[in-house]
Amino acid sequence: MSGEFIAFFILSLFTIGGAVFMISFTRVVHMVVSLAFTFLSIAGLYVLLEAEFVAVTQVIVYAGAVAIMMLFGIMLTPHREQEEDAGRAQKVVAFIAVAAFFLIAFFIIQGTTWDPSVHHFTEDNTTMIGKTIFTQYVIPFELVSVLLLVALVGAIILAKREENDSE
Amino acid sequence: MPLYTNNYVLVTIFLFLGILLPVAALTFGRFLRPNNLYPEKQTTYESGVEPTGESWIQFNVKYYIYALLFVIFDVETIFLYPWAVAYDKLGLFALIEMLIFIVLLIIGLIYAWKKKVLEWK
Amino acid sequence: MSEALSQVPLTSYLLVGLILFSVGLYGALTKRNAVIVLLSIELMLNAVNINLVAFAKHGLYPGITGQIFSLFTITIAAAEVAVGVAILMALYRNRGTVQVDKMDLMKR
Repeated sequence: MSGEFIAFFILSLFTIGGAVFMISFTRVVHMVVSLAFTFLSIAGLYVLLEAEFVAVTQVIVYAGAVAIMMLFGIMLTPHREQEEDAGRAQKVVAFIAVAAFFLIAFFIIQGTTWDPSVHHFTEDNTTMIGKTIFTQYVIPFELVSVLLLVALVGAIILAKREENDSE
Repeated sequence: MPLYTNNYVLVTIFLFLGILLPVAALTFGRFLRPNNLYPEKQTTYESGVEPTGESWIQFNVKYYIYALLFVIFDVETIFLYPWAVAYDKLGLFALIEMLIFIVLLIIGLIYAWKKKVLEWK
Repeated sequence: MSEALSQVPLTSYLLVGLILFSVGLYGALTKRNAVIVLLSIELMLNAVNINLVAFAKHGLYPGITGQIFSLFTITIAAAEVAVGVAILMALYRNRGTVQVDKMDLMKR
């Protein structure tokens, strides 16, 4: 039983626990806090997988920005009443469909023989990511800037309209 | 490689100490402090003003625009950082790429400026 | 390679990703508040990211590419949340609700 196993066990427990709590809470604000907990635990899993830069990105973007954004989404819309779910019949159908998907994927994962070798990165993680993005993935990188610009402009147009209406 | 991973043992110890310290301080405080509560003591402290209503109210949309700008430039930082770390191995081409990237996002900032979403009336 | 035996196997990471994806899918299908549906979709995206990063270290073709893909996914997710919440606010302005089953203009 090595330290890596213990760390993996605790982190995956927190990850799945946070997700399950998110589904079962009734107050929407509690749901977001529980999801932020899941995001932080996933960052821990990335550290175990030797992806330190992705782990830090996960903390900055998901646990920081996305969780804040979701809280804004909740605070700007009605949230006082308790969260109500879909009808019982819809719930049962959804559960059966998800369970079927889970079982199929589970048996596929168990049935496949995976290559047991483990790759260790020799170089500094961030340097390697920087070198690969700016040599091999130039066009995706530039497209990201276009996407962010479009998202910024579109979200401003969608959100700004109310101020004109209310004045 | 095992030595390198062991650095995270230190991180874990710091994490536990960081959680333990406030918990221990508050627990000791509970035992040491005098315990006579009355309703005025239990209200939320709002810089001396009487608190009204509850905290889970609907916010103004203006706050959302600031959160939006924060998210967009937060993501920009994610790509600036590996570029800065690997800069001396990349050269001029990467500099031009990054300039295009930054100029496109500055266009977004100018748009927000022109739309007067940065003003607080 | 004796070290490989002491490592957490790839299957465990894939299972964590699978469970997260299933929980997110169930939430997206059953919740009525649109903000919570967005949260569940984020959960599913995170499950995919775990798989990408796991395959960057284990498997037949390990390499840094998996981590870079997950970086791009995280970026797209942030942009998606920004626009998604803005759309929800526009919808709330026009319809007065954020319940997904009330968005039935096309059905009438």
